[in-house]
This record gives sequence, structure tokens and C-alpha cells, in this order.
Amino acid sequence: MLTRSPDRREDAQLLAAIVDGDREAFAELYRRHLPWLLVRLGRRCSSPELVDEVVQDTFVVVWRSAGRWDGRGEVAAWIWGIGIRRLVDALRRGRPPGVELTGFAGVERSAEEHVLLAVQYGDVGAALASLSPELRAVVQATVLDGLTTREAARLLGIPPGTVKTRMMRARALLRERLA
Amino acid sequence: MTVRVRGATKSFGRTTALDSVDLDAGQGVTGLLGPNGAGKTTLLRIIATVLAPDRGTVRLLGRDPSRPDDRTRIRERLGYLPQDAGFHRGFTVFEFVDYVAILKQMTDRRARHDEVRRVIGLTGLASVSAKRIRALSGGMRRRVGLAQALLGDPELLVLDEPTVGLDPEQRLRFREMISHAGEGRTVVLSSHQTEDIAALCTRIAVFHQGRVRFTGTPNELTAQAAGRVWAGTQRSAAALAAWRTGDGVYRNVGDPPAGAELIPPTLEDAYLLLMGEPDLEVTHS
Amino acid sequence: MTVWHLDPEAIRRYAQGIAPPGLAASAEAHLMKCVTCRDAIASHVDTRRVEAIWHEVVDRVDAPRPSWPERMLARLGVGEATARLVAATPTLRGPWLLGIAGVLALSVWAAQVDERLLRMLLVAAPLGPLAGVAFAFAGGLDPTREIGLAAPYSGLRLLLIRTAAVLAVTVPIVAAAGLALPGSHWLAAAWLLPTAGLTCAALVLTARMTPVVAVGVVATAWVLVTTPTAMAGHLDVAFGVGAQIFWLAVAVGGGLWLAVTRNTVTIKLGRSG
Repeated sequence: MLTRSPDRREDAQLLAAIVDGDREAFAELYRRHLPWLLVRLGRRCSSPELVDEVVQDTFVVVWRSAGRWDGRGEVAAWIWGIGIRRLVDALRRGRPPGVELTGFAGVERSAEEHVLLAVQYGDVGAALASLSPELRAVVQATVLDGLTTREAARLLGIPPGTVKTRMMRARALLRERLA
Repeated sequence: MTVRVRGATKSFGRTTALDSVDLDAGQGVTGLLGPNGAGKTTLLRIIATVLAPDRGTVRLLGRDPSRPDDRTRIRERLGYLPQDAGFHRGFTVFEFVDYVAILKQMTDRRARHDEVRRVIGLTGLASVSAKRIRALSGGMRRRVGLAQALLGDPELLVLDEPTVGLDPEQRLRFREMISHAGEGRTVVLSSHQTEDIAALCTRIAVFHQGRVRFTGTPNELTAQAAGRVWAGTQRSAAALAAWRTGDGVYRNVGDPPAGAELIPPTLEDAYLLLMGEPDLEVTHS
Repeated sequence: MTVWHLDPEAIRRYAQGIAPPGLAASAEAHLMKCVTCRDAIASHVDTRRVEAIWHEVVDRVDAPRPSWPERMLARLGVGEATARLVAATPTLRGPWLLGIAGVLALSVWAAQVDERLLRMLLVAAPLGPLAGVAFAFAGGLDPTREIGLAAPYSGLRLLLIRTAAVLAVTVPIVAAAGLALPGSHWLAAAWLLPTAGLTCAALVLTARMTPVVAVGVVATAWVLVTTPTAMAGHLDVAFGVGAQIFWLAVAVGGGLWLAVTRNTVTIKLGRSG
């Protein structure tokens, strides 16, 4: 099902075809976007089963509401928006025991390595990497993942007020370090 | 024999649709050939357990469809494509086949969906399985009809005019699917297309006005026309049918015109001769 | 489009979840814009996992989305397969329900104009649900009837499922019409048992004739018996206490008969079936 000759259509064209019930277009879109989505969501939730479920939901939503894409920006970003919100919803419904959020905390590496990578990927990356895990998680959820304060709070399992205060502290620190 | 019909007679009001018909069908594809209204559909509905004959006996898969218990057992192993297979037009392909699967008593949702997907794949409908049936072409709808008939891998497959309304390419695809289905099971189908019958069937029964005029293999039917088909430069007035072919030669079925020479007959020639009426409706392409 | 790409090592680390936060953040920002790097991640993801999720997605995409009546039935404990059959009952499609409701609305209006028509409304009330049952099996309305006839699904079961579905929808409509009437409210409920009795009688008759004919016979008999008495003002003959007990007995008797003979009697859902 998933192995076939490459489809030359753009993501946006695939979405348009999906609106008409084109299953091949859907398979192609899935082939293109499942892997990174799986990895990216996997960095935010330690339960692969839950991630699989969320990814499943995400693509079912993509199939059913392909017509709702507004045609602006990257299709990938649209899919991400659905995916991360599904994850937030899934976590709100009750976090299964043992499921912890990972990724934000990062895997601690040697300081040396941090510096090397930060140099390679620019100042912002370095500044981010230098934040404490709690602050970084908030920046990541709101700035990179595009969540609202409330959604970020659900994702991280902290009160919305805490998200706001941490965000303010993170902003101040980043400004300082990038100055 | 999977299908054994003896002396089946069925009347609707004053019309006798079927007049003391015998039919045997075993593994492979058996074709019922004949003009519209010759009784093919009536017989197929009897074989599909939808209709009971007024007189005569029917045995299907070794059971008697007039007994309720037996009839249910037969229906569990039967696939049926009616002539006017209707659809809930608002259903998607998957929903429709799934609905029939429920009527075929597949209650486990997961297993049923897998089976629905299997028959949808077999009939080449996978890419449209989420489309509404009303959005499909006639040929695609016919495939949906075939897909539901294949549910549960039935031992007996009853197909009423499976190729009607299909364009040549779709007909070829359908022939492939049906001949594939005929491997290891019994298929009984009807058609008024001699080409389909010649291409698909191991046995033929030719129907005319509610009676069976011939039963045998396609070759046996064709052989009946040996010595009766002539090619010549003119049309024979006495021929049963005569037409000018593409290369300018007249093909005369029946009595020859002067100076004509014998040519090998086709199934269609034999069918024409059997029907014995020059104005009979015969489809050829 | 971006001109630079993540190097294979960075992609590997990111995909395996061992990239440090700074790298992960820039990788993720980059991935949103870069097709090449997104594709490069695919080789680090377990193919079996991708296939397994796809199978689930396809199943959910294909599977019919339960309509709200189906979801409601599921909540009441009705099996998924049965709920699907109920939802596919031809009569439950909009136009027929609107038809029944329209006729009743008209009768209510007429009854307010002329009191004799009020009694006629009682005569007519059971006909709505009965007509619904007949329509559920009319060949022209059930396009899959021929296929259904050749399926092993029990004819009686299908008959009962559809009848129950039709009654569940039509009875409240008729009841609402009855409550809109002037006068005492017992009138609004007096037709319920007769309807139950008539429906059961029609169901029993399907052992001999198709549902459409059976309903026709029962409905005709009902109209012929009740119209003259109702017009003459003798509502008790068809709706009094004695009559109510009679209809209850018919309903219970018919139900029992169907239950006892369910394995031996062939229900005629189609012509000459």
C-alpha cells in the first residue's frame, strides 16, 4: 500500500485531491508526513503507544478535514498543529500512569557538545539550550509548537499562570543572552 | 453438482417465465444465454433462493432451498449480484459493502471490515472506497455489486448480467475477475452477449421463451453451426441472418447464396441458428 | 525554499531522540520548511510501525462514521451491526417522516375546525406508523432488497428491527400531534394500543404475504370497521376499555406467536420469497 512510484503532486494538491476522496493522495501524504510527525511528537511524550494513537487520530482528522486547510503556509505546519493539539487533548483525557513528558527536558549531553552544536546552529539555538529545562519547555511549547498558553499548560501539566511567568523569565533571559 | 434444477416452472400471472427447466452447474463458470425475457433472470433468482418455483425441485450445495433451515445454510455460502443491483446512493462504497456484510451475518466489526477491504481490493475499488456511490460511473457501480457478491468467499456465485452497461475495457476487466472467481467455485451468470459467454463459460444453457434450447460446452454449441455459415459476394435472401462484414464480404448464416464458400462458425452464428428467428435481438460488437 | 540541509548525523540524532535541545529546536524549525530533510527522517523510523499505524488509519477512514441515531443506539446497548441496519431503514430517510408529520399537522388543524374530524384523527393515527412499516419494505424504497433477500440474515429479525425503528420514530410524531388537539388528553393516547395490535397483526400476516400487502390488509380492515362507528360518535367500539384490552391481547398474542414460530415460519419480505 505504501510502496508505489513517487507522486509528483505538491502537498497542497494532495490535500485538494483528498477532499475528493482520493485514497492514493492520502497514502502519499501519509508517507511524506508520518515519519517526522512521529519523531516530533515522540519527543514530547514518553509513551510510544500514546504517540501512535495521537498520530492515528491526526491523520484521520487530516482525511476528514482536508478541505479546511486555508491554503496558507506549509501543509506540514498545518498537520503539526493538528497533531500537537491532539496530543494535548489526549493528555488532558488522563495521562496513563508512567507517561511522562520528555524532550523538553532534553537528554543531558556534555557541556562541550552543547557549545559545539550551539555554534553550528546559531545563537538562538545556543541561547535556548542555555535555558533551564523548565523555561525551555515553555518556550518550545509556545514559540516552536505554536500552542496557546492554556494548551501549553495542559501539555506540560502546569497551571497557565506558571506558563506565563516562566515565559516572561525566559524572554528576559533570552534577550539578555542574545544582546 | 453445486446446482441441480429439475422441471422448474414459474409463472407470473398469465406469463410463464420458466417452463420445466433443467439445469446442472458445477465448478467453473456456467452461462445462461438468451434474449431479454427468456427466463434467465427468473432462473437465477431461483438459484439465489430469492424466488421459489411453482413446480420442480431445486438442490443447491446439496441442500433444499424450500426448507427454511437449509435455505439459511445455502445463503451463508452464496453470493448474488442481482440484475438491478440497487444501492443506498448516499452510502460510500465501503459503507455499502459493509452493510451487505452485516446482512451476511458478519458481526465482528474488525473481521468484517477486513473482509470488506479484501473484496474492495479484489474488484479494484480500493482507491474509491471512501467515495459516495452516487458519484461513481456505471461500470464502477457494477464492480461494487460484484464486490458485495464476493463477501465471505462464497462457494456459489450467481451473477445476473454482470457485464451489462460496461465499456469494452471494463468488460475485459470484469471477465478477468469472474474467471478468477470461477476457479474452485461455482459461478452461474447470465448474459445476452455471446462474446462474454464464449470467453468465460465452461458450460452454456441457451434460453428462449422460458425453455432451455441447448445445454453443453461453448464448442459444442459452435459445432452445431458447422456447415451453415457462408461467405459470399452477395446476401442470401433465404439466410437466417446475413450482413456485410468489414472486408466487404457477406456473412450468411443459414442458407447459402450462389457461389458462397463455407467458413468456420462462431458461437454467435450457432446462437442465431438456435434461436431460428431472423429478427431476433442479438447483440454483437 | 531553504538551501541548507541538516547533516545526516544531526538527522539521526534527532530521529532517535538523542539530540540536545538546541539542535532539536533548530531541527524542528527547519523541518517545517524542508521537504528533503523530512524525507530523510523516514529512514530512521520503523517501517512496521508506519504500516501498523496506516492500517489503523485506513480502517478508521473507511469505516462508516456512525450517524447520531447509531451513536444513540450504541449508548443504549444495541450492537454496532444492528444499529447500522436500523440507520439504513428506508422509511427513516427524511422525506417520509416529513410526509407523515405533514399529514398529521393537517389533520390536527382540520380537527380544530370540525369536531367530527377529531374522531377521524383517532382513526387515522395508527395509519402513520403502519405506513412507515410498509414503506420500510417497499421494493422501490429499499434498493438493496434483492441482495438482502439472498443474504442469510433472519428475515424476521430484519422485520422486527425495522418495525421497531419505524415505531420509535413515528409514534412520538403522532403523539405530539395528539397532544396538540383540543379536548381531553386520553384521546391523544387512545390510539396507542390499537396501533400496537394492528402492527403485530400485520407482522403475523407477513408469514403469508409481503409486509406491504399485510399492512394494506390490516389498515383497510381498521378503516372499514372504525370509520362508520367513529363518525356516528361511538368511539367506545374501537377505543373504549374493552377495545383497549382487545388490542393489548392482539399485540401480546401476535408477539407470542412470532416468538414461538420464529424458527419455522418463513417471513415473506419480498414477492414470492
